[in-house]
Amino acid sequence: MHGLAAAEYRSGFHKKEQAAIAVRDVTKSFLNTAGEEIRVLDGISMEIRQREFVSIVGPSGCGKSTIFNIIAGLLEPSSGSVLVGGADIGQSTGHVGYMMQRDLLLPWRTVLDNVTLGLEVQGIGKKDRQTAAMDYLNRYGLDSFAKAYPSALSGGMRQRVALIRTLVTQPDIILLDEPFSALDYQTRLVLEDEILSILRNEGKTGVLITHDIEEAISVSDRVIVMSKRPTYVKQTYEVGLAAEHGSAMKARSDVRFKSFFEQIWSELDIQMGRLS
Amino acid sequence: MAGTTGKMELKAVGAVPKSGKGRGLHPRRSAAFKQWSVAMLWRTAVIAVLLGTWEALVRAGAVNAFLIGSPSAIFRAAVSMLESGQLATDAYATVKATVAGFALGSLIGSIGGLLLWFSKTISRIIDPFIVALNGVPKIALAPMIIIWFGSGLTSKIVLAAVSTFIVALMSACQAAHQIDESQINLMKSFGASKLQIFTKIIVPSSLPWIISAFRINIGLALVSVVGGEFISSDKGLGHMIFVEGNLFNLPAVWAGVFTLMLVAALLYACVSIAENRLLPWNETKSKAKRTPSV
Repeated sequence: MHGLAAAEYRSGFHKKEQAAIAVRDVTKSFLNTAGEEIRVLDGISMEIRQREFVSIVGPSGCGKSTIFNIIAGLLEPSSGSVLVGGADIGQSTGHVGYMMQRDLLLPWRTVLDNVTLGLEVQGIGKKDRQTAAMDYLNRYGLDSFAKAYPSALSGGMRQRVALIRTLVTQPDIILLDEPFSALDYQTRLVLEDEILSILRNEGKTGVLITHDIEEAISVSDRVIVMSKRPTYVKQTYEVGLAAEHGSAMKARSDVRFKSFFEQIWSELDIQMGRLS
Repeated sequence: MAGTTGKMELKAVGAVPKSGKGRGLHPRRSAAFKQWSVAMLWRTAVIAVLLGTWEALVRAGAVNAFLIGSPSAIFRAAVSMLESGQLATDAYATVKATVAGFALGSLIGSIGGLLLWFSKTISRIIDPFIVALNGVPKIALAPMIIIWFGSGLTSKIVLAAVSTFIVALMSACQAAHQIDESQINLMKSFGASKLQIFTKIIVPSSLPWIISAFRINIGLALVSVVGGEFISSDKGLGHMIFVEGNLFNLPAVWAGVFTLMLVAALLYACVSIAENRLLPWNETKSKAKRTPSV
């Protein structure tokens, strides 16, 4: 009896220390139009710790978005498994928040109704979801836009609304698929900092896909570098500049920034040379 | 037009509190009104010149009034048909059949087209049939439809419904299938069911396409009804034009044609108003006042 209880306690305790996301030997192949099997992911394994902010960089077309779709449960891996909070996700969805390249705000809904979309899907009553949404909009200074249609907002504003739409469903993990890539440089810098501090503030685990190495270094605790297709994890860098300085902007002026950049760049550069 | 433009801007500004851009509203609105009045003035002038020349040519004996008609004779014919109530009866019959057929065909077609989103297999199977049906001039079906449904109102409604059904079905189906995959992925990442994706994403984002099909369909419905009335009926503008044409009563024919133009313009205007009402977000799209970034 005592032994069992101890084991239970240990496993319970272990669960708390569990990686937020564990990707185990995931492969993915697609059939092309000629019926040939194309291997996109070649045995990916990675662990994302709780409340960590990790960036995934890799040459374009290396299947970064495929990894995200598998983690979110939108795609089934050909082999391997994904564990979120220690539980195999199988074919389920709804266990992570997903923020995409484009804000995907629905033009026929006001900002408030866009933000409540996820809660609506989850069957939460109108009053409750509007209260929750207004709470977040207030917190991040967007409450005055609640009744506006997305077309009236700038690109940066729209991405902020998209983030809040994700946050309001209270996922522990947020996947960010190049959410800054369509924004102008200044907006991007401000928003990177803002989103990073929001995620820290809310105690979320964040995984960012980007092709911008500087962005990856400035915001991340760790940067995972992927190979070209068929994709595997090439290298992982413990960066942590943003956490140390408390801001992605300040991380950019750290002396180590340049050396991280050169290391990661050379990892990618070799592959680009081979590709062309 | 000027009124609508003004309203759009009001909405766009109203949607963004604290933007402080409302100041630009009044001058722009009056500029639009000025443009509109100038255009209307010219339009009236063009019509006056055309009718005046026509009347003058007839009076001078340069053209045959019996074969061409004259504006004054058309006016007299129209007044007498208005007084006898014939014009109103005919116009009412045509409008009734057009609106009923349009509503029936557009509604069933749009709903059917949207529902096809649920099954790619079914839509792939029926696609060639729809394309073939779309290619047939629907008026070719009129003799059969009149045999089946009689020469009264019902056959005209069915004819208009058949003509509009295919267009509505095709555009709704196309609209439903071209929804951005990442939009659907976003819904799935919230854990949405297929029905939720349909009601919250597919239907609303297809609406602009469905409604722009309405614009085409209202015209198609009118053409079908008038065509049906030509073939066999006891009232309606098409019937009146056909009968008076056989009697070489050109002024009455012209009066019928002008009434049809009026009816078409009114129906089209109704659809346009409905479009603006149903798609309020579309108005703000182009006229949106951008707030400064960040």
